[in-house]
Amino acid sequence: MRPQLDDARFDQMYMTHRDAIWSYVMRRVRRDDVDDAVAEVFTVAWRKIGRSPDPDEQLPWLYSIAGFIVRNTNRSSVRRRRLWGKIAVMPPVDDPGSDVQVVRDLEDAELLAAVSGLRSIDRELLRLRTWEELSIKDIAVIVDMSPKSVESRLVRIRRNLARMLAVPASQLHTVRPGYPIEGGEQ
Amino acid sequence: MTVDLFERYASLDPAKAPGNQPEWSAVAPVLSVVTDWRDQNMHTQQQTPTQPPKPKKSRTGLLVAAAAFALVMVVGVIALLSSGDASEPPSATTPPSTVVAEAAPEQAVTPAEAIAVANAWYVAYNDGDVDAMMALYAPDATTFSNFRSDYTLEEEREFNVWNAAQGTKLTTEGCTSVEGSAPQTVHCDGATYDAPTQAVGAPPVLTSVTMTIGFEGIAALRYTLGEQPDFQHVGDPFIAWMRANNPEDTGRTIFHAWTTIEEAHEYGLAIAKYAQEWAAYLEANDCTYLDGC
Repeated sequence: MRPQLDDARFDQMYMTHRDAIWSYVMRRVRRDDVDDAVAEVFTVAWRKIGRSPDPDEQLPWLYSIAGFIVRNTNRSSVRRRRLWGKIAVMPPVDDPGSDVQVVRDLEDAELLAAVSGLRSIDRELLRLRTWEELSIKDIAVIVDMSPKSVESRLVRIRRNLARMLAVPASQLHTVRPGYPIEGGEQ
Repeated sequence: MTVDLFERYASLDPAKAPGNQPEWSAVAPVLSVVTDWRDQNMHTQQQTPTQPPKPKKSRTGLLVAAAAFALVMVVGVIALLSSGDASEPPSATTPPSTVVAEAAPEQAVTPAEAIAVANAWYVAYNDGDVDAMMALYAPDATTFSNFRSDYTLEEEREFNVWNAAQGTKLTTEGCTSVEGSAPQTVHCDGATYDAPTQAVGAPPVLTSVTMTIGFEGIAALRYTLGEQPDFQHVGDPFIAWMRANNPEDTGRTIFHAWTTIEEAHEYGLAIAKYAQEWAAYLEANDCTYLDGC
């Protein structure tokens, strides 16, 4: 029989962290996929509730789950688009209000372009730091690195972005920060 | 004033943009399945944390809900049968990567997507658009049939070029997904009308097409021809007429006489031309393709 402790734990976890998880997922997948992906995150959390950490460590734990779900979702999304492209049938029109990134001026556009040129792990570190506003320690747990590695990577990301932004925007895509770049996002 | 790059990037957070707020009624249906099952089976006094007013009507939403429900049922059965779970304390030290290693399985092509691919294939086939047809195949696709050897993609292209040149039509009563198939498989029943069949108004050859479809496209395709009537039903009298009236071109009208893609196209055109001449000959001499003249 499932302990009632687990039920209370899940309820508390869900109510406390659902907004944060929704925002995390929303920042990384197409709007059409967000709700299902969030539901999957909490479905997994429900399955694993017996092994969930203490309340003050639950959010990084949920972020880790969400990271896997996001990668799966985006992988499928990319492949689905490719398949739809084959049959020349357009997928449902995206909601432009939710998938379009915030771009107020040319500098924003240049910064977003530079970020898209980062390695995917560096993009994720940057987002966890600036959008999820997580501590170095929490980021280290989520990405399974030492806090020192996270810190030094963030320093390098800042330096690389500055260097990339020093070149004209038209040349940004040809600038690489010195290591192979994995496939970009949507 | 110089703005710190990280601060600037933080200000571009899409989650803070207007209109990008969660709609919990869309997410809640899955959780309501989870909590409803819990309430029904555990006799808990707790209230469910969410009360969805309306379930979201999305294909993937329904699939996730169904999967979540099935998952919860399995977990519940295991929990009931297990004597150890109740005493197992929650672990705060389990690494997230271990815990989530079996998180959501890779998504697969849905039945609707697979049927859309199959329909697009039929449309391209009957349009004679071989490029559009071939674009639907996965790079390592193989085709099988009960009337010829297995074809590589290049051989399949030649076959399709030959059919397109003679104007072959392939009908279907509609494609349906094979339930529970993985990878996704669709089956389409119909009939083939090649040029000679069309020219003399003969009954077509029943033709089933089964396709296995992944994200790369059609991974495998199998043609299954009916036994009666078969292509010899019309083909034999046609070839006989060719031998009698156009012996020098008979070889070009025999199935798979081509050796290059250019020949496949040229021979398909030849069949279309001679099929019309044969039909005109039969009509002029008041003959039927079945009985000859």
